Amino acid sequence: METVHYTQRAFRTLLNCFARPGTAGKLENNYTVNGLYAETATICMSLLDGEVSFQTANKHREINQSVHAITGCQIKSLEQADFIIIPHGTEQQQLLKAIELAKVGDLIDPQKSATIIIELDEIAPTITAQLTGPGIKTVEHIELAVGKELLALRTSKNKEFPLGIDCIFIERSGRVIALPRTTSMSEVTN
Amino acid sequence: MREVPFALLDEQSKKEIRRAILKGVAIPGYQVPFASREMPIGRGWGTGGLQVTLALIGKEDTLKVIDQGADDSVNAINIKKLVQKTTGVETTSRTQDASIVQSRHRIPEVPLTKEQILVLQVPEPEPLRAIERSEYKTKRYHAEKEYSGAYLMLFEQIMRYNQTSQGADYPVLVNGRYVMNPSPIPRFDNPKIDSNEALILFGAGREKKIYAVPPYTNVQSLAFEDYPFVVEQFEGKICRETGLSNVFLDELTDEKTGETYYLCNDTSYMKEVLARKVAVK
Repeated sequence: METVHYTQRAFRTLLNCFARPGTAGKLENNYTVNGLYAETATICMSLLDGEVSFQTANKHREINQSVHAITGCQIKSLEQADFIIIPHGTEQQQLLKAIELAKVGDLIDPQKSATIIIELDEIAPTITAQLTGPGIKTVEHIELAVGKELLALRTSKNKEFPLGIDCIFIERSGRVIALPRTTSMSEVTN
Repeated sequence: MREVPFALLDEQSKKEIRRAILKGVAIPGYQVPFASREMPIGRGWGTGGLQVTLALIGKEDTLKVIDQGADDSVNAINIKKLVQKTTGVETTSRTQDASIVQSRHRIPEVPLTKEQILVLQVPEPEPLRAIERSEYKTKRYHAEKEYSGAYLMLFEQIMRYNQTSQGADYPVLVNGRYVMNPSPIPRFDNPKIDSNEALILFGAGREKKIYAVPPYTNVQSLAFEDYPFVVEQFEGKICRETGLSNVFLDELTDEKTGETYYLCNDTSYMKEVLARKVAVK
């Protein structure tokens, strides 16, 4: 019975992060999956089930099996997966490859696109970015530990709205930031 | 027998609705299909809004339900009771105290805040349905951003009446991309959707669609250069009880005298204003 409330709270945190891009949310961490942050496991518990599919960026057997075991979620190829999990420690090349392959939906069904759950390695933020788009009053500034290549790739995947990918970033600290496809992001150099 | 789950729906149904809500937020104004479960109320009585509310609600929430501006009409009371019985959450009629407001056909007069979520019940989510019966085709019109049909509908009204006669459910363009039915709210409420502080979610149970307008999103009512969008005018008319004139008014007839009078449509707001007046006296 308690999981019902657990997933409800997680969903509301995610919803707030999606509705207000740049807003940092805090997820609970009661469940663990080896190789993933506990917050990622929480997201899996709240959104994944047998109706949808997922894949890990490095096609990690053990993680795939564990996530499948706790959610019943189908394991599919990166091109077909509704959710792509990028565990921390994934090599840069694999990370970019996974996002490159992620589906963006089509104009008739733009919802048939992938949601990318990205675990960030670095503790210190590497970039400062400016966000604009729906959910943001004027501009929002965020600090995020992601590489420039990732941002460029995200921009190119989202260039033809409504097609695109929605990203959820999870830091080691448990801080969660969501960037739906509508959010445009430009790096601020200072 | 097993007891009824928290918020009535089983976990799988909630997950599906939650995924649809997130997609809806990511693609503002786009109608995301969802399975739409059987509910203990009839389809067309707010099942879409109810499912969205049930997927959102948690123990800490406070719920307000309104039906055409009233907190105490049958539809509102029954939905409120159903949610209350299956969750045990607090309910309220004060807009300011609610964390979730489910509404049929009105956006409250009291401005919403960023701590609140507005859930609107939608009978017909498709703005192009009046000109195209086939869902197969309307989906393609949306894909191609082919909205001349929506404009044509308004154009025909102007040809006939020299003004748009669309009283409620007046179509809007969301984030410059999707034309959307804002649910049958009066035109008066259309400007409130534009850049609202609160997240607005739309649930159409019978038509199996969920869509969303995130906060601070550009939402414009469709119009023509020479026929700009106008809201209902209540010039020279005031609410008989409160004296308010900048609110949406209901026209009523005094059955004894046959006289026409007006009342504030948002009853909880009216009560609040009246209570304030009494306090001042």
